[in-house]
Amino acid sequence: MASTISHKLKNRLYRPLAILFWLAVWQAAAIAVGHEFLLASPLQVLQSLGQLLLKGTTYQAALKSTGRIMLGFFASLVFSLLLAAGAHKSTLLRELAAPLVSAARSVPVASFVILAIILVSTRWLSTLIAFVIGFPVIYLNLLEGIKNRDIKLRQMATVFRVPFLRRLFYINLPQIVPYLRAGAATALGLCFKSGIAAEVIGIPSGTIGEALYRVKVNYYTAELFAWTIIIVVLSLLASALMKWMLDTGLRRLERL
Amino acid sequence: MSKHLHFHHVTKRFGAQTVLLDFSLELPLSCVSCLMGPSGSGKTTLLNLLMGLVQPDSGSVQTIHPQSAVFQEDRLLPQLSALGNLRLITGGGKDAELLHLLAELGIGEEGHKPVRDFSGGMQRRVVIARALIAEYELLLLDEPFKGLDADTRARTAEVIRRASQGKTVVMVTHDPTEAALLNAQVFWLPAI
Repeated sequence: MASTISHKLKNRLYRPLAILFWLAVWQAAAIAVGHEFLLASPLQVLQSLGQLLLKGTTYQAALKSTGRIMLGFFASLVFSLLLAAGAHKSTLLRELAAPLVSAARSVPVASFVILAIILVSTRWLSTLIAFVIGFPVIYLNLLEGIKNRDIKLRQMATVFRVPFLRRLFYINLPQIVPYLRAGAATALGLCFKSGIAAEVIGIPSGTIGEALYRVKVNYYTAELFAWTIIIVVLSLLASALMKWMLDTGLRRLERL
Repeated sequence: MSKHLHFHHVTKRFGAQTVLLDFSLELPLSCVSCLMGPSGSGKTTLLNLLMGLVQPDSGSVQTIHPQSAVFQEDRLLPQLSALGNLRLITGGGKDAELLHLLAELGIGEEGHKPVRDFSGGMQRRVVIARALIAEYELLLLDEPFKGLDADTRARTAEVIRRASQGKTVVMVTHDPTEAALLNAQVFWLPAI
């Protein structure tokens, strides 16, 4: 018992100590480099973050970029759901989708971004990129989930003539949601990374990408780190929201 | 309509293993039949053939519908309550009837709890309740009393007997006393 408590205490202590260690390394590196524009120190980053958080434009940019990326993510979620449901039933559709999925997984984001800049307005660039990047991850996870459903429960539903909707909500979805949850969590992280990267290339006005581009041109590394912290926080919040939505939905399916 | 369930020269293989070889049997309608035989003699396969869950490699099977079943495994939805597992089959609006049946099987207060929290014996009784509340002409029971003690077995058999009166019941078991509990006509399967 005592050894378990001491083990837990150690684990709790190690994590903040590790963070403090790397912050110290960062501070030492910043002092060694000696130029804020090359490598800002943690304190300078904190200062820059404080300044950003006091500006209304920061929130506008965060809202705009997050909204567009989330739109692309949810579009990929819906599209993947429909395609996976269809592909599970139809080999032809599955085979038809396979090259699309391979292309979406292997073509570099930059190529998609440049193609998207040519084809669509830069305004919807991050939405389109989030869609393209998110779709194969969610789709493949969903296909796996559908494939791995318990055949014995399916047989039970067949013998008892369980109607389609009850079968969907109480037998199929509870088995598929864990796969969807895992795929969507991975996809959402990728959507944020690639969506912001697309904005840096396309520079749509009033977005995080535009702010990062300005930082790059002016060598404001402190602001670069500050924006990075904001992006990570936004991505974590979006991920938590998505998981909460799925878990709430799943809990509802546990009542009949 | 034929007066029998009918297996006519059925052969069924799973990979290299032959489970049934040129097997023929007639089971009477509107009474309880019990299939007994050594392990691997194809008892569960016969039930699966009647349910259409597997198809014979050769020969034919004549069955009746609608059907209900107690499978060898429980096949419950663990996240749902006992009542929820029954509502999955019946839909809403029959709660009083469902709770009454659960109570008869010794699951009263616990009917609203998730079945994942139930003991093996309680889960088995929910499985039996599920089979009995479904609409059926043919009830297939694959070792229905698995995990039940002698008293619960007898009480459960009484509920099954009452609920399935006039219907065709086919049971698979290793235990002759279980066949006796349902007043079943026993059919011995040969080992292959």
